[in-house]
Amino acid sequence: MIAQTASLVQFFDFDNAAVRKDGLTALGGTTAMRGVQALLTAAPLLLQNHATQSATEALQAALNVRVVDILAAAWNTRRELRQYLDRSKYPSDQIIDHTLAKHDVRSSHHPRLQIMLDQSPIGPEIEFEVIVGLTLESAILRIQNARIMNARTGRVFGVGTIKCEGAILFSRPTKAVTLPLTISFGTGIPIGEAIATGTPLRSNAA
Amino acid sequence: MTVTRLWSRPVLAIVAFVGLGLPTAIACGGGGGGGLNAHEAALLTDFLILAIKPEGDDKDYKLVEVGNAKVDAGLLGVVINTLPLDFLGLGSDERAYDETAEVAQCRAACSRNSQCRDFTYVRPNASRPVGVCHLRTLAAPASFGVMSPVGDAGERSERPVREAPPIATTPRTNGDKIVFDDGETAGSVRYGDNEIRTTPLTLKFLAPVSQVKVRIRAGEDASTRSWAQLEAFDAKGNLVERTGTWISAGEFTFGHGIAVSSGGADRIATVKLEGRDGTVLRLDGIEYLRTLIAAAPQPAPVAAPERVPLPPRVPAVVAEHFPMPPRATPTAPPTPITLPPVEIAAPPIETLPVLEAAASPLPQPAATTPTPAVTPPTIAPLPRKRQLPAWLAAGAVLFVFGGAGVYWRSHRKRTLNRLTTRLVSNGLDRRTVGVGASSAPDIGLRFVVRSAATIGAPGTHIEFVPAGAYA
Repeated sequence: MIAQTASLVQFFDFDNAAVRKDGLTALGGTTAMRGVQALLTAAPLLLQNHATQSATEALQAALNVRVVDILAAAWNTRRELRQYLDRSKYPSDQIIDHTLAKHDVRSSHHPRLQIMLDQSPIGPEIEFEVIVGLTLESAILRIQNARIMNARTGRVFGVGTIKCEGAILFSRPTKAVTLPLTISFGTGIPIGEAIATGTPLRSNAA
Repeated sequence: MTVTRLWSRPVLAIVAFVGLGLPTAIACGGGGGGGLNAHEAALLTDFLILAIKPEGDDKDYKLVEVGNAKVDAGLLGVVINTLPLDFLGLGSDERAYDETAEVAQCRAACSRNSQCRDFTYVRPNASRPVGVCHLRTLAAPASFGVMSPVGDAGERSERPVREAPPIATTPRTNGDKIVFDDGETAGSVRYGDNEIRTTPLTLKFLAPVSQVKVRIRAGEDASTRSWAQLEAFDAKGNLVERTGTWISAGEFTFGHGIAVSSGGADRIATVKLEGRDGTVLRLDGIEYLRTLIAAAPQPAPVAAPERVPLPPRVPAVVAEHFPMPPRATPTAPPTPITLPPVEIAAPPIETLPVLEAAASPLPQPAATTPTPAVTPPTIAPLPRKRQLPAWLAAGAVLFVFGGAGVYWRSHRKRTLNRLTTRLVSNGLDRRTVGVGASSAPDIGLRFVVRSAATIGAPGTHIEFVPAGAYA
């Protein structure tokens, strides 16, 4: 797995069967899954045993978010970068390396799943809460033409949890996150615009 | 004489004529009265007299030959018991019970019944004062009735005798062994109360016989039925035949016969009679027959010899030039079909046996030259029965199990496809992301690229401009 394309799946070690099994057990104890199991009593036993696993597999798709995208989205909310939107002061031929000292990045999103039987939904939607915390010792953002072109980071440490109905399904302890030396954003991320979705980001930066 | 008191002289004469002439005719007749001797014939006469309806007796009892109609033995017994024996001058106390006579009557009745094969005489007892004769067919008793007379000469029909008249013999007895040293074609011996013979018994025939019949009954102390076994052995001790029958206890049945036969030739030299589990049986009589045909030498083992199929019939000329290989016995190893050539030399003419013209349709050989050797053709062995190859069987088994596994997997997959989970939202649209304050102020380092930097380009110049400074 290329470090730049590493997603929350690798972040939470979702590929580990033992980790996933623990999460399945915890997910089976939630009210939502018990409701789904109750609705599957008339279904074959194979389906009853597979419902929880199916939800976990769908959750894996919801965790397909790159760590670098989380960083970019977080940096893009930094107010200090908005000064580079002034083209008169920072023409397109100028390159600015914006250095960030030690800082933290927080990300939280809520994927929702729906279990279907014979193309018909059964039970309520199951909502998860994914919380990711990254601590960067330093980062240098290269900005040109009001775009974040690439970034270079120091050591990164990450911690995260996945919850469902308040119950922790998956937990990652604080440990180093492997990122490439230079994170390239292709043609650059426009400063001030939301990543991927195009909607403005809410910033919690001070 | 008491008879003269009641019968007139003419009637007495008629009765005497019938009474004397009838047994004489029976004794001399070809049909034989069932093999009756003179003594028994005389006894028949006596019984016949008793059976005739006396004059003045209002009771009418019908004389019915046993076997032609059902006879109520109890009723007939009562009728006979009401015979005015005193009136006839033959009181019951004057006429003593003679078992031999009654047995003779029974035998005579059996001989006159075409379906009768054997008879059993039941002695009278306290509940039944008359003797009962059971005539038996092959399957079941043919009839049941009281001792019946022979019947009148006009009504009776002569019937052939079914068994040879036995000749009374006097065997030597030694403990439990009875030895017959005669050489007659038939013989018999009877045992009564004066000479009780009980099992186990061994009958020894110095001259072998072809058939032996013993008449036995249950012992007096027997409470249940017993199995009587009869075994016949030849002179060498080989078993010829073994048979047996159940003997009922509780009644004195006479003449319950068991027979063994050697099938034609005189082979039976020893007969053993015994009851199962040591049950004591009483022997009433022995009968035997000889055909005077010497038995062929028998093989030593008791088990039936293996049957060897006869060789096919071929003409003598063919057999002479094309000899058949020896036929193998069932237990003998297979004889090889291919035989070495056999040279057959024709014997000289003068040594050939003289054959009659009618018995020898084949012409006599004219030449005396030796015939050429004939080599029997070799026969290819039959092809082995084809069997299913092991690889094919294994492949079929694997195919079955593999097919079952494929079906199971597809079934499992189809079942699992019914349950899906749809990602309604990945939550990124409402994602909350932020960056915290840095531990130190940010530093911006601005530099201007005047020209594209190429390798070795001398014009590349990089200026470092602190943040906020105008370059």
